[in-house]
Order: sequence, then C-alpha cells, then structure tokens
Amino acid sequence: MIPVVALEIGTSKTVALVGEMREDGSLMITGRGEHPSAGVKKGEITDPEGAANGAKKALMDAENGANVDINEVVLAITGGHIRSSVYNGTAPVCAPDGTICEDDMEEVQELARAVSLPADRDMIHTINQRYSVDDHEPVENPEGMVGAKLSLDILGFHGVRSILMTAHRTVERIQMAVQDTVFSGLAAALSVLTPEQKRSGAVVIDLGAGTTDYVAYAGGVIACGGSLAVGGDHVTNDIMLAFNIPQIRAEKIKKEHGRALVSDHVEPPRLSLPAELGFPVNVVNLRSLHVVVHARMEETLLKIRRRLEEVDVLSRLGGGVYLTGGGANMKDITELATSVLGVPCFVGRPRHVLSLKKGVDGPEYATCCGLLEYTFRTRDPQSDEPKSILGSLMKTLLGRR
Amino acid sequence: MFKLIRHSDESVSRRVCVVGIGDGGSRAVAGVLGGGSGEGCTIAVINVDPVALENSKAMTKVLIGRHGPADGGAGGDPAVGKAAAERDIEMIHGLLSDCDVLIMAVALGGGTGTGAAPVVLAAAREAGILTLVMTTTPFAFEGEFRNRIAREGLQTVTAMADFVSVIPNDRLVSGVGSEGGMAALFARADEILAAGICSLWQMVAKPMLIGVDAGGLRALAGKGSGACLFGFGTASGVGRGLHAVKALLEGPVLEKGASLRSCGAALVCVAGSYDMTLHEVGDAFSAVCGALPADCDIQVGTVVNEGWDDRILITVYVADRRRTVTPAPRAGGGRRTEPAAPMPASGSRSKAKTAAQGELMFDAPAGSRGRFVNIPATILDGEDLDTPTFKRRGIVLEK
Repeated sequence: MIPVVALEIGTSKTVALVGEMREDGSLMITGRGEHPSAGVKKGEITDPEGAANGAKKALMDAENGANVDINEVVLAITGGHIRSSVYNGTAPVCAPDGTICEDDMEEVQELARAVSLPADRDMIHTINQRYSVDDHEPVENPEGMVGAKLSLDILGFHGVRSILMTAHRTVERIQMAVQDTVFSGLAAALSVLTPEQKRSGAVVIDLGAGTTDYVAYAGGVIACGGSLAVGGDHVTNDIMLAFNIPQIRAEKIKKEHGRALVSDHVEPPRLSLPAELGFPVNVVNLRSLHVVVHARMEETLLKIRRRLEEVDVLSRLGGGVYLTGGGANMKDITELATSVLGVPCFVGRPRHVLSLKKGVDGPEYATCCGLLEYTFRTRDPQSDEPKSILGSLMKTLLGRR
Repeated sequence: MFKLIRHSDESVSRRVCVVGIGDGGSRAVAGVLGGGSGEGCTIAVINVDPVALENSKAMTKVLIGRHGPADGGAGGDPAVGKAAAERDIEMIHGLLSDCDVLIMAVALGGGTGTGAAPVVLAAAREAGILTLVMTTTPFAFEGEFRNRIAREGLQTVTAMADFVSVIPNDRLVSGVGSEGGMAALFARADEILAAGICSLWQMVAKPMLIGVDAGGLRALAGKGSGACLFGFGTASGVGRGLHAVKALLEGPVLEKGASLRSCGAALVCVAGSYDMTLHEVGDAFSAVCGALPADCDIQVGTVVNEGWDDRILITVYVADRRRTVTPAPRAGGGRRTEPAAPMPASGSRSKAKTAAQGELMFDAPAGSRGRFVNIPATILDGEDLDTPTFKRRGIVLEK
C-alpha cells in the first residue's frame, strides 16, 4: 500500500508522520518529523510563513526517515470555530410497495447533506447517524424495510472558511498538496477508541496546547464534537501571570511540576528557580502552582462537560472517557477528569501503532496517528483510491469493521 | 453620585497629536479641520494610499508601505496594513516624537486602519504617550468579513490603548431615513467620529471650568468591560441647551437613550461658546444625568471653546456594566444578539433593553491576558477565558 503522510500543525509543535497500513490492520510508522510551531495561536494559523517553515522542517525529517518523496499530506484542522450540528434529510420511499432500496438511502443522505451553512462556513465532515422509517425507532440499515417515509440524521462538522483556507494555503506554500483535511478531535478518537468502545459510548478529549477538542460516541453514533479555544497555553499563561515568570520558565515548571489536583502536603513546598541572565531568582510555592493548574483544568473540563450534557452524552457512556494530547501527560489529570465528568477517565493512546522509534504511541500522537488511520480506512484497499461513497466511511468511523 | 473633579490650574498645555489612520480615520480628521477646532495641535493622517493623502486637508501626511505589498492600498487585509506601518515605523516615531497625548481615529474593518492602528499604538505606548482612540465598526451590510476584522481589531485596540470609544455604525442606519442615501450615511458616520475626536481633544487640551481629564477617561475605561460607547448632541440658537440634549438622547448611536439607561459609568461633557450660561450647563447636566441609572458612576465636565460662535455640544461616554458580557456572536448572522438586560435602577424605564452590543464589550483589562494580548479572546458563556481562571475566581495564592 502507498504510504500516507499526516501533518498536524499544532499550536506548540508541528508533527509529520509517514505511515503504512499492514495486512493485519496495524499502522507502521516509517518516518517521523517534529518541529516547534511558529505562527499558530489557539489552533489557528496566524502567520502562514512561520507555520509553513515549521511544517517544511517536520516533513523533511519525516521524508528522510521514511525514505520517500512527500508531495501530498493529510492535514489536521482544529480551532474554536469548529462546531458540529445534526441535520436531517427526509423523503418519501420511491417503490410503490414501500420497500426501501439503496436509492432511497442515497437520496435522504443527499438531502441531509444539502444543508445551507452560514455564508462564511464550510463543511469539513458529514457523518451518518441513524435512519428512521416512518418516525419509528432509529435503525442502522433500513434497506429492505417497508415504510412510506425514510429519514436520516447526519452530523456535520463545519468551520470558518477563511481559517480553513489559511491552513490549506499554508501547506501549499511549501509545494505540498492537501489530500484531505480531518478535524483533530475526530482523528484522535479514531486512533484511540476500539470498535467496542465506540459501540458502547465513549468520549475522546484531546488536550492540545491551543485548543481542547472533543468527540463523543453515544448510542452507536458520533453524537457531537467540537473544539474550545482553551488549552495548555492557557495553563502556561496562568502560571506566568501568577508567579510573574517568563513564558519559557512557566512552560518548564508546568511540565515538571504541574498537577491537576491539589494536595495538602507538597514536598518540597517551594521551588527555587535558579537565576538566569536577566531574570531574578524566583521562588514558586508548589501548592499555589497546583491551585493555578487545577483551577484552569477543572474549568476547561467543566466547559466540555457542559457541551456533552447539551446532547445528553454522559449518561450513555459505557466505554469511558479517553484523554489525549500533550495535556494527557499531566499528573493527576485522569483523576480530575473522573471527578469532574463523573465517568471513568483514562489516558488514550494510539492503537495498533508500530514504530522503530520510541514514543509514537504516546497520547500526544493520537491526532497524527488518527489522520493515517482515517485515510487508510476511507481508502479502497483494491484501488488505493479514496472510496466514493460515504457509507463505508461511516462504518469505519462507527467501528463496524 | 456626582463627582466634581477639581480643575487643576496647569498652564502648561499638553501637546496633542490627532491622527487619522486609513480612509475612514482620515476623513474624520478632515472633519475636525472643517469644524474649525483644530488649532493648537498636530493633525496628521496616515495612509497607504498616496491619492487619498494628497486630497486630505491635514497638516501632516504620512505615507506608509510605499514600494511594499501595500503600495496603493491594503486591499482590506489588516496584515498588509500592519506590515506597511511596521515598515515605516520610523516615520511614525517621528510623528509622535513631540506629543503627550495621541488621539487616534480609525474606522475598523478595513486593511489600513485596522492593521496599522495597533502598530501606532504600540509605538505611542513605548514613548509613554497617553492614547485615546475613537473607532467605528462597519455597517452590517458591509458583510461579515469586515465585521469580523473589525471585532478582532477592536479587541486589539482595546487591549492596547488607554481609552477606546466605539461608534457602531450600524446603529446609524435607523437614524438616517429612507431619504438619506449611502453617501449621507457614510458622511454621518464620519461626522460622528469627528465629533468624538473633537470632544476628546477638548477634554485633554483645553482648560476646563469643571474638569474631567485624561485620568477620568482612563478611570471610565477601567470601570466598563472594554470599549465605551459614545454619543453627542449639538445645537445653536434659542434653547440650544435643551435641543442639544434632545439630539443626544434621541440619536441613534445611543439607541435613543437606551444605552444610557443600562450603563454602569458615564462621563458627560458640555462644551460651548463663550456665551454659554450656567443655566444651560445645569439644565443639560440634569437632563442627561436624569437619563442615567441612579447607581451610575457619573463624571461631569464643562469647557468653553473660544473659537465657537453660539453653539453647545454635549458629549457622553458610557461604559457598560462589568459581568454582563455576552460571548462574541456566532459567525454568520448579520444582526447581533443583544445581551440579557441588566435591570436599570429606575423603575419606570426598566423595560428598556440594554444597548451594550455583545461583540463590542470585552472583559479584558490590559495586563491580565499575558501572551494572549494580540489575538481574539476566547469568550465562552460570557467569560473571557484568556484571563487566568484563578484571577476570575478570585483565588488568593499562598506565597
């Protein structure tokens, strides 16, 4: 199979992965490149030139590692502008005897997808949820059933066109074609959830530097997803302002000493930051550090809880909540998430990933591995070309294969 | 609660520089010149378009971005305007080199003004200059793209300047009847912007009988959650005081006075020609203050403008109430949703809807945003999430 290149221009770093799908369905990562991002804020590209430079370097490293020529990539898209909504398509059944055939299903699918978004928005994904016949209980596959009316709910992910276009242009700047764009949260979910978890209901929360993305599976379908423009950068910023220290130091103590829960006894109670050229010696009370981090993380998770409650997802989770992204490496984050969301929370790692290099199965690679997963699963194994019809994609996304 | 601020007898006058940036800002500055109030301060225009500069009546003209991507126009892209200003930052430094107060006029939503304004503000702040900004936001019919640029621009400007006042142009649509064409509408927008600049200039440059000063403006900016709304009324002849009040209260910018009824703090300034009487001033103040809520924090000031002949001008700056901020509107719809009305204290008018436009108010005092200072705020459920959580929750940290 032709290898696929995944590119995620994240807020803190840009990651490029080259992967091949093996016969047994596992993902072989043959090349990897990473570079600190520039010109990306809250998941959106604010300086295309800076972002393109980072992407170029990451892609070059990946290219050398995999020993391939890269000329097209699958790109991850995120940002607070991304939203999901449910759209419905309904049509009378064609056949006189009321037997539902494939044409009927395609027609409602087209009707549902023909939504008019606000003028400045573009659709990123449309994913089938459930069919229903004559307003009865929803079914997965109505073919062969009898009824007068068929309807279908689809979930659409959409974003602001100018921001999506900027991402495309950024990649095109370095003479790369964009093969496909995938919402980061969706990619992370594809990468970490098992088919069983998808069926029984699960949420993936990707704690990125610029954004917190989420996708929820409930009742056997993708129920909702979206992105909040709050992330690890906010934690760093809070620490910066709380202790009046420069950003680089704040980032460092966040990674080394940050905790999502506050305990009464912290050993040692204070941390002395060595004097650096131009910076005075700072003493940071570690308990206060934990208070600052806890307040921010709890708030972010509460915002996610609120979004999930809007579609009543939390009561229907059998598979739990999986945290991915760099933020999933924070100490006590799963404990905090469990107490905020009231369901068991775990760190989510990319599944079935093989690599000669260490660390690609860390939660921060979930999105990038998901991009590869998405591309291979939506591609027809025979022709190596993307499949035309959405049905197969839907099956993959829902974990039926 | 009236606060009469004692007028300090400083004879040293401040050196004021009035700068119009971009086409809209330049036109407004030209309006100040036309109104004959421009004596005693530098009036400058900054633009990327040499033709527009050539036609301007301003004393000082600064052409930025020549031979760069912005040559001849920024094409509606703030990045181009910004780059042009950065390229010619030396000229801007030169312009600001001998002034104490910068009054800037900018019509947000285009490329030059929206892009260059933050660069000029940054230069001014660096030089320790007090920065007062009058802005307009586009008409709804100018499209969501320009409105989005304007919203983001306003956020940046609000975070950087000492005082920002905003005139939502869209409110003028209801003020101009069907007989008024497009030209009249834009002329009216320029006129209001000019009046705002004029009133700011009077406040900081003229000795006032009852003084409000730059400190008062800054205090007002600090009381609200972002940019202040601005309204004015002017009249001459018999009964000019009350006519001016009427014009102010019935004008579209303050939504026929509705903005006043819901505000948290206000600054009222009465300016007049030499024959202005105590009665007129008193009547004007009581009429305007009567329209404000009882618990509103009010500052008042009067100034006499020797250059005028038989004229009275009443200007009001109002700050919204903090914590009544609604999130920025969802992209798409042309009209914006009004935030939930905080109950005005005056009972009989309690039906009045608040006039604060959600997207114009940002709970973002400068200095609490750290590294997020120059990018659009993350506002969710009425909170600015860029401000640290522990600060918003009022958590006191152990040392």
